[in-house]
Amino acid sequence: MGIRALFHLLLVLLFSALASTHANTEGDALYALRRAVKDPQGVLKSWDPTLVDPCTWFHVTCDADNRVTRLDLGNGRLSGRLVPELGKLERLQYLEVYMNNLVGPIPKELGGLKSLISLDLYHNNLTGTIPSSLSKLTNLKFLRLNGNRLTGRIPRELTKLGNLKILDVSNNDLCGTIPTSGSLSKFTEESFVNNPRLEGPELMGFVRYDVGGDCK
Amino acid sequence: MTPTRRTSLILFYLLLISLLPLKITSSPRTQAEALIRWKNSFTSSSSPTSLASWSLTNLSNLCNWTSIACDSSGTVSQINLSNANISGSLTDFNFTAFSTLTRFDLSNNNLEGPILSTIGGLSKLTFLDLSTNFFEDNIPPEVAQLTELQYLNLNNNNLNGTIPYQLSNLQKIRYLDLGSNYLETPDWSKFSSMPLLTHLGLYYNDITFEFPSFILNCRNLTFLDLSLNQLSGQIPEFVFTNLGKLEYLNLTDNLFQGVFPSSVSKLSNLIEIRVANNKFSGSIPEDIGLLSDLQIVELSNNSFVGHIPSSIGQLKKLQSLDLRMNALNSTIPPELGLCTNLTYLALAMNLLSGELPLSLSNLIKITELGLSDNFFSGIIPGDFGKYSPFLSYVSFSNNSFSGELPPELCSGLALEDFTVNGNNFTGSLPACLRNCSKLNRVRLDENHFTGNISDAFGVHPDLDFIALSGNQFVGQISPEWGECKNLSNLQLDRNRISGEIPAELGNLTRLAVLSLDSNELTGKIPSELGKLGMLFKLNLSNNHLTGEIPQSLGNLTKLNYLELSNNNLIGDIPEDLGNCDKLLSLGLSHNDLSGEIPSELGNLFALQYMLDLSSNSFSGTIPQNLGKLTALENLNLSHNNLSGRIPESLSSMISLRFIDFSYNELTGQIPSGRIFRNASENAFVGNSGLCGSAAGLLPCNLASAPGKSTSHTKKIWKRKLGFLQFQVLHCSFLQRSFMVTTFYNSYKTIEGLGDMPRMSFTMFCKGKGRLGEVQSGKYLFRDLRFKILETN
Repeated sequence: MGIRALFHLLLVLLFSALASTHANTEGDALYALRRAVKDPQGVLKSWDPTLVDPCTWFHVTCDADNRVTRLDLGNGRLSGRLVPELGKLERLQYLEVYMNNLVGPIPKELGGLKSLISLDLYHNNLTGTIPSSLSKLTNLKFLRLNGNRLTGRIPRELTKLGNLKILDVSNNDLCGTIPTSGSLSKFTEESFVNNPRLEGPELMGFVRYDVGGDCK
Repeated sequence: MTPTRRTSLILFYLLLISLLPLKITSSPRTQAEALIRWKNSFTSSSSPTSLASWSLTNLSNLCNWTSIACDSSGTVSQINLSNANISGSLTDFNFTAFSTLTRFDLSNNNLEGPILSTIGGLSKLTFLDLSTNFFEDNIPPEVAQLTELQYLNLNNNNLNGTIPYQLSNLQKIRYLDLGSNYLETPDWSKFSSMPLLTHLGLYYNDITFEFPSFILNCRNLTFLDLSLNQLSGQIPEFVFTNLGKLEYLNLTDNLFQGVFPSSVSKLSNLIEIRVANNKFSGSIPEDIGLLSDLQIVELSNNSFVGHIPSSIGQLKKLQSLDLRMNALNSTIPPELGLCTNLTYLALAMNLLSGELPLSLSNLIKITELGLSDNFFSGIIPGDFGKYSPFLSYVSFSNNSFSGELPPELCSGLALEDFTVNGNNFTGSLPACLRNCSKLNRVRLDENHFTGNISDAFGVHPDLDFIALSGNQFVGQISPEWGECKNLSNLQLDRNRISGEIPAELGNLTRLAVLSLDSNELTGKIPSELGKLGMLFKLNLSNNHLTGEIPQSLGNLTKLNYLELSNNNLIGDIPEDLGNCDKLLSLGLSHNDLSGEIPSELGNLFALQYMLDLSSNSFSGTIPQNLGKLTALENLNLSHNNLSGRIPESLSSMISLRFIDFSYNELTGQIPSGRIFRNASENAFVGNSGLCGSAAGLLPCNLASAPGKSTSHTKKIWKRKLGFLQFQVLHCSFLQRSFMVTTFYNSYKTIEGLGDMPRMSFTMFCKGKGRLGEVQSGKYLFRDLRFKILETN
């Protein structure tokens, strides 16, 4: 009942606090994450949106220009979802949210993280498909999505990730065939194990090695 | 009886009977029964016990029922059920029985469902308050039938749909609040003006388009709140010329644009003006100084440019001035010091420049002063704070202020938030800081302070965050910090602080960040630091610390970053450090540490950014266990006395990007992993016995190294493919087994095989052929003819 009134009151209070809530889009983006997760250990307790930027927030690292470069939230007992706003952190190099209880999809907006070197979402409860937009992460070296409940195909676009060193999508529910061209050609079986519906490496040529069945 | 007499008698009785319903529908008994029927429809099991008086056995006492009042004829005139914890709806409320009702207050309950159109039957109603419930659906136009209504409050419900224009037919209405719903924009041109309206609230709805035109003719308006909608366009000038009685104007959080005309001065009764979070532009009109009743001015987060009008000094009643987040580019007018009632002054995030006027010291009532993120320069007026005992929030951050902090800035001892980081302040800290028992957040970092911090601070029970980094503070770390029980962030790095780290810091159970690096600290690392159960970042590097690394640091289970490099630490790395399994980065370089590298370090499976043990005296071999660090990117073991081989297990460290083993006594073949083979010379230089296929290294003796022939064999396999007639391989992929018989360059038809399909694919195979054992590995079958049989 009073929820809307409480929210109105909260907004009023936020504006009377003597610092901006609007001037910093990176702080807003991170705060959107805070609102979307449950945080029993108080990992995000220091995330105060009334501060001028998020650079003094714990587990956030900024560069000399006060832009966020690292987010270290691994093993934090966080539940809830990732938010599309995370895609606005254009200088983010390390997105470490592994070993939590996050659900929901990987937001396609993460394709906007142009500086990203490491995307570690492994060991969560994420569902949905691997967004093909991740192919825009030209600096990506580490892509670890293992230990989730991801479905669908491994997007062919990932073969464009020329800097990719480590790929791990094992222990999911992926299906279809594995692209074997481009950067994906250097990964062994271990990167893909324990995906019961995954059909094997893609076969190119005149005959398709198609076991049949749907893959979406 | 004659026939005419009988007829007239019948007629008389008929008349009597027809008159009865009128009395029955609004009789006290009907009303009582209707109330009980409604009460019985409440859903909450906690049917408020306070309504026990509403009972069929108590019918005669209707006017003494809780929350009920009657008029002189004994019928119900008021139902006052505000805050009565009722859950239910109005569906079973018999409105037709209550034509005598003048006041109906159901505010702050849990009522849901629609507002029924039969509410129009409350024909005498003057006061209707349904606020703070869960009412939904449209506002029924039948509300307009309540022609006596003076007060209508529907705020904070879930009402949706457009606002019915019929509401403007309520010509007696003075107070209309529809805020905090989901109402949509009506056709305002259908709204007639409401001349008696004094209070209008449409805030926090989904109203779009332009400023509602009917408001321009509500000339008795004193309170207007349109905030938190999506209204756009300019404010019609008639707002300023027609609404001369306006005292409270709130347009916050919309999309309004345009310039504030100087005719704003016509709103001579204005007490509060709030237009934050819009897209207003242009200057703040100089004539604003004529609005002598103004107490609150909130213009933040717009695109105002130009001057802060000096006429603001005329606003003797002004309490709050918020101009943050605009593009104002003047100095602060000295006249501002005349606003002696000012408690809240917010100017942060503009383009303001110049020195602060001395008159700011005259703001005797000021509690919050925010000047951060501007281009201010010069010295803070020397007596600032001396006459302002209520100062609780002060921010000068990110400007070009210089000179010393005024000595009496905190003389009122009320400071809670004090941030001056990012300026050119020098000298010492005000002595009063020590006694500011309410301090919560302090940032002095990145200035040129030179003071002595030994006694600058005392015991601050509410202190949560303090940063003194990047100055030239001298003195010692006081043990009193250990009594600041709520401290979560203590940063003293990059100063000239000397003395020892007090063991009392171990009492700070909430401490999450402790940065003492780049100072002149001596003595040992107190083992009491192992009690800091919430600590995730510990940086003691670049000091003169001696002694051993305390075992107790292994108790810091939340530790992410441990930096102890560039000290004079001796002894072994404690094995217990292997318990810090959340460590992301470990730096121990440039110390005098010795002994073997404990294999327990291999348990730090979260290590990602760095493991730097370089420039110490570590001896013995590199533990194989380090190979478990599969996320580690940067490994530096250089400049030690390590001997033996670099374990082959380190090839499993697949995330490595930078390695440095230089200047040790390592021998033997380097691991086969790609990072090792591709490393530059500098990774291995200074080790006389290392060999392998990497830059700057000699190849190892061929002898019986099976690995070499393996790769050789593979190449032969591919080159000599043409000679094979067939090869049987056992392949697997994702736990499925296949037996593959290849027929390359063979056009012999073998019975039963038929025409093989041509394909390319990749599988993981091992098998026997004419060449002997073929190593297992990945094989790319390109355009081969073959037969595949799936086996179990």
